[in-house]
Amino acid sequence: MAKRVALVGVGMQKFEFRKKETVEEMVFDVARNALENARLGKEDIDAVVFGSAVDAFCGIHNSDKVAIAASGGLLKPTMRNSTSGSTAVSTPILAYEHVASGLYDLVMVVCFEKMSENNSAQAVFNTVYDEAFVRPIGLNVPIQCGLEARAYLHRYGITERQMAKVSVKNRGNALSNPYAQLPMKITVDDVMASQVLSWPVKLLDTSPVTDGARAVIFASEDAARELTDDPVWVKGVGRGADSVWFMGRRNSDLGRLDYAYLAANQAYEMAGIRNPRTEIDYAELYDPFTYKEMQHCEALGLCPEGGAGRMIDEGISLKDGPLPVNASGGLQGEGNPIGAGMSRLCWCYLQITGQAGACQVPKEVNTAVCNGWGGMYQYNAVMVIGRE
Amino acid sequence: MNEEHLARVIVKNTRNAGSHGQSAAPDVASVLRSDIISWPIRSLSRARDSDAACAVILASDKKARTLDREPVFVKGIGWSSDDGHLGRREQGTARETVWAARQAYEMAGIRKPDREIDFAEVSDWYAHRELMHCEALGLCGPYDVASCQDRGVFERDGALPVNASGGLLGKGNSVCTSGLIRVAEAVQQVRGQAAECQIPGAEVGVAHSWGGVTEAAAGVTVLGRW
Repeated sequence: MAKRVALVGVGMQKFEFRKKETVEEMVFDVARNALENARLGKEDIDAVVFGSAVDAFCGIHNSDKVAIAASGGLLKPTMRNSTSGSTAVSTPILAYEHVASGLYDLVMVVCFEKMSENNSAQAVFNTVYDEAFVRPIGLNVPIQCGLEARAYLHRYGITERQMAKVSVKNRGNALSNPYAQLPMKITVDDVMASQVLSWPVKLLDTSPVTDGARAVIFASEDAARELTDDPVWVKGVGRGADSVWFMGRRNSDLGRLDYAYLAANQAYEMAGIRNPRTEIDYAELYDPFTYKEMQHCEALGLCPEGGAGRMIDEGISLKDGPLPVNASGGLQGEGNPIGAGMSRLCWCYLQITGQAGACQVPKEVNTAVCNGWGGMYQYNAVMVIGRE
Repeated sequence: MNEEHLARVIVKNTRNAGSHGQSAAPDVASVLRSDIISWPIRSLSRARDSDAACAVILASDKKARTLDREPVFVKGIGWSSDDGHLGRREQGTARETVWAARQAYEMAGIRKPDREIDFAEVSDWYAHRELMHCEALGLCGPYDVASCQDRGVFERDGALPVNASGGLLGKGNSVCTSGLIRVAEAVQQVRGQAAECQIPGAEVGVAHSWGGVTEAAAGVTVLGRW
């Protein structure tokens, strides 16, 4: 039987393009910040889990090796996880399992990505596709997202202006986030007028290329109760994967993310959540593109299927709305260092514990959900955390 | 120790691989005649690259007992990494394996591995690594590895057979699959399904993996009947 697991600290740092620090220094920085946040020393940590999506981004193969000593993981059990973009949430799930199994009391998870070390992130992404059929046509992320976004808008009658509103919201929210790379005060018209990358995806529908790292510390029930009177628990986790072949998908319509619904259902079932719209107070969703936040709102049940356009129109997901989404600015405003998108989980924790500073939403947050998305547009990981 | 000790590991493992092996077993003299890659590593003292995949199914205790096959239990696990900077590591030791084994043995309740373990499948990516790992896993006393080898302890019919399957030197090295293959070989030994590689009375085995390019990381699993 899985044991109860709590979050007891997070380590943040500024997201930016072309950080001066090495990967090792970035890891050291967030590991130290997480230990300080949890009021622990590195000797207290039993095991460390690393997450980084694609080594070619930072140009160091087995890039977790430089993180071992930097995180305080020397001669401790350490392992690295990689599920592309969804590394952001599948890695903390792996760390959660280290504690839930009863093997360890205090486990640190460090996710990092230094994307500025390569000449073209999109050229790297192209090598993720299968070498025989898809890679040769030069497919990359914006192009595939164009295909997916088109299918999504068509299926549910969502408009480009509704997509644009997500960009305005997230970049605007990032103005309050001291760690953010790309805070911007923009209008829907600015987004609509920005360069089309792959219709309907425009430049301001996307997220920037980012260097950054995040750390989170998970604790067993006993260890958590020694550290705090009011622990934030992991309530549910879920993962879902579909075929990497576009034509092999369970649902051949690219517009519906069956695997994300699957991951969310697992997490909610484990958390005992039946109606996410009323039981979830806050969400940090994986939003590398505006329409991805919308798809994830639907898949995670924060609005009805196909209702993400109305959700943003009615201001439900605004910072002061009834169900705020990405008050931190999300990947679009805070930055998108693939694996370190674990920042979504960090912000859920900061909101619940009232440590979100200027990003704090004007409502009580007891239960929050975050997700990560990636692989060949076919993998989703979901985590629900909250108070008792 | 000398190069002959390394050569004997190669002779043992290629012979153990038998008909599953990649090549006919060489003798000590032919190992010592093979090309030097980086002394004392010779072309024959390094496992050859191979392509492989392996799958293992894990089950809860409750589920396992409802299945037809007799379960093999995971009695202990441990893993650990040493520093990512070569300059900060001590060469000639396998600290990562020592630490991983300590965790696994503690969980399995093993105090005297050389007496309580019946057989081992360890990473022999390079011949000298098998000897280092035998020592780090406590399969012999400190500094005893040469004398244990002299007495044939690690042979298939010895007191504590090591890599009775042929190991990486005998069967090839598929890097990250190699560790899981060690686990699969150990499961077959405990189940008595190891065919011509079978060690009589194999009940508790240890499977070990090692890797990392500049860092050194090791994983240790103790498997056995409950």
